Amino acid sequence: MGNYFTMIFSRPFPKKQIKLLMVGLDAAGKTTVLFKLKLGEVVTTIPTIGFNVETVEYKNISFAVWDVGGQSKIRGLWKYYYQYTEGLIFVVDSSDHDRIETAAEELNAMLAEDEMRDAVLLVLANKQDLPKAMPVHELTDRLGLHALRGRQWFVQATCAVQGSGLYEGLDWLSDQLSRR
Amino acid sequence: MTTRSEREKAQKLNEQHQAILSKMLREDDNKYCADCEAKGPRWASWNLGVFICIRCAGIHRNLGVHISRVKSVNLDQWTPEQILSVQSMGNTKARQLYEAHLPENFRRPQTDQAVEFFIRDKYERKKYYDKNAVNGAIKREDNQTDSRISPKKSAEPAIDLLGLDAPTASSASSGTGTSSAAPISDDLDIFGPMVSNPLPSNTNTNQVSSSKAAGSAQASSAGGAVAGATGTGSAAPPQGDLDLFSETSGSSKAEDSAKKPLSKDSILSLYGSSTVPQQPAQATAMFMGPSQMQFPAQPQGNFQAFPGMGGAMPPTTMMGAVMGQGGAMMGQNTGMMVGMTMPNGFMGNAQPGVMGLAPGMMGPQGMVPPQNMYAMQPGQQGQWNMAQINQQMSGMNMNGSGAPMAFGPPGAPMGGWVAPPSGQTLSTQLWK
Repeated sequence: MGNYFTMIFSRPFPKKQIKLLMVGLDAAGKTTVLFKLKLGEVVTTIPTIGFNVETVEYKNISFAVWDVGGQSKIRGLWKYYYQYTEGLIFVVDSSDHDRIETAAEELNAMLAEDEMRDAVLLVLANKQDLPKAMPVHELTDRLGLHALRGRQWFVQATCAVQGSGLYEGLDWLSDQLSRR
Repeated sequence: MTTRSEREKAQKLNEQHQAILSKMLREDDNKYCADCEAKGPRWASWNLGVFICIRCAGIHRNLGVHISRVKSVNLDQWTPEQILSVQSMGNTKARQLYEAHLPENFRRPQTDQAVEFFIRDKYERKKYYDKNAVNGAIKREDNQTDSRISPKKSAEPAIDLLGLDAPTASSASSGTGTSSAAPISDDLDIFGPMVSNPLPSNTNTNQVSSSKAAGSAQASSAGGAVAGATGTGSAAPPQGDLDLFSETSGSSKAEDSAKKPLSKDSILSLYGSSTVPQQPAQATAMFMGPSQMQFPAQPQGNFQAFPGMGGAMPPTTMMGAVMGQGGAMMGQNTGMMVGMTMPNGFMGNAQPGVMGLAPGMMGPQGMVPPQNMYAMQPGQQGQWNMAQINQQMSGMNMNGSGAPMAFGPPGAPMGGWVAPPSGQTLSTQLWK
């Protein structure tokens, strides 16, 4: 009898699976983030034409992270990835002052979509190592996040090539999503 | 919200920009990557004013926007300012400027790591730079084109330039018949320019043009669905490790690359074991509409990894989600996009590691889980519904937990993919 229970409980519990969609302007560092999470390594990336997807196990949650190319003309394809997205990771190049408005527009347009209604938002303020990188509070302002209503959001400073901040971001996501 | 006329205006401007860029890409020096001399660049650093291949584009993006601002010729919208910037520079002038002190016997690096060093030397440290190097024919002020500032000067005002070039636009695109594929929406339009761009010349021109013609015919009949291949040949380095891009036209090249040890330092090279020689012609063929879907199963000597794919997996050449009929861009659900070589002609990604398409990507686990899923045979018809996709997804997820032997017995439906030797570590393939 004891053995029987041991057998049952030693089986791995099925992990909770969560779909995360990772978008952002081109060259924000999405693919680098993805593979840093997946492999713990910095890979030499090329611009993503299409998408990458990997599962990342963290805190007993299995995140399926979809990393979708961000060139301006293929941003129109993001919407096809919205379905069943529970968490949105929006990656921003914090050093790119010129395009932060564009990033804000894209983000807000996306959040207005019905399919993204329930998704929590994690903004990665990436490339913090580069000169003149905007700090989190500035980025938060310029993305207009304070105006969001009915949305769980969080901005995390990251440097994907060093790996800093990434797991803090996932911590927040897993906290939010495991409560559901 | 933008009004309709504004949208039309923007679209028109965009077409003009595309035409200017296409025209520039036909100039001799712009036919090769400014950094590694790969053929047919389809990317640009607009502030530096150079045309580069996709691999070098990836490296340029590592430099940061304070040094280089990368844009795709085909996948990005350009502003007049950006167009002016590349017009006032171009690869010829950039070479005089940024490679003024390049040793005469300098051999251009080919491995990813070496190319990155070179590019950093060239633009970040400006090791070979000489701002006086540009000969007298070019205006003095142009010499100041600094990486930080976009050049603001040009002989002609932007409007004039665009206007002058406008006729070229129509003639350029009508040649390939894309103009007939009236896009239904902006989304659909996005790949038009790519098709209209002349593919890099190769020995299979016939194939290219025929498939292109077929593609546009399909496009027009289907109400403007054109799927895109971006710079296939464009990313072809002259030789070396990235044999993924090498054209089969040089069969000897393919052999070369087979012999050559692959440098495992990029996610691209993780495809290494599959050594899939690809060429624009194939890519183009892949993008035709359903009824004309072809699976160019060319004899490919080195092709091992994805037998089920019918030989159609040029990395970097396809869109994860492109295509559509009559305005519907994609299948009904996101899951569809997972697919590779879908019956309807959707190509899944191209890039590294889509759900483990790249064998090396999943490295430590030894086996790429959802192979079966992707190794869909062309003949397998039928839509994948969400339930199926979910099943597959869960399979994949379970798999992510990493039991090395759990998946796909070698020789299963997807055929010959054998798990890499366990000794293969990713750390040898990747670098910081």
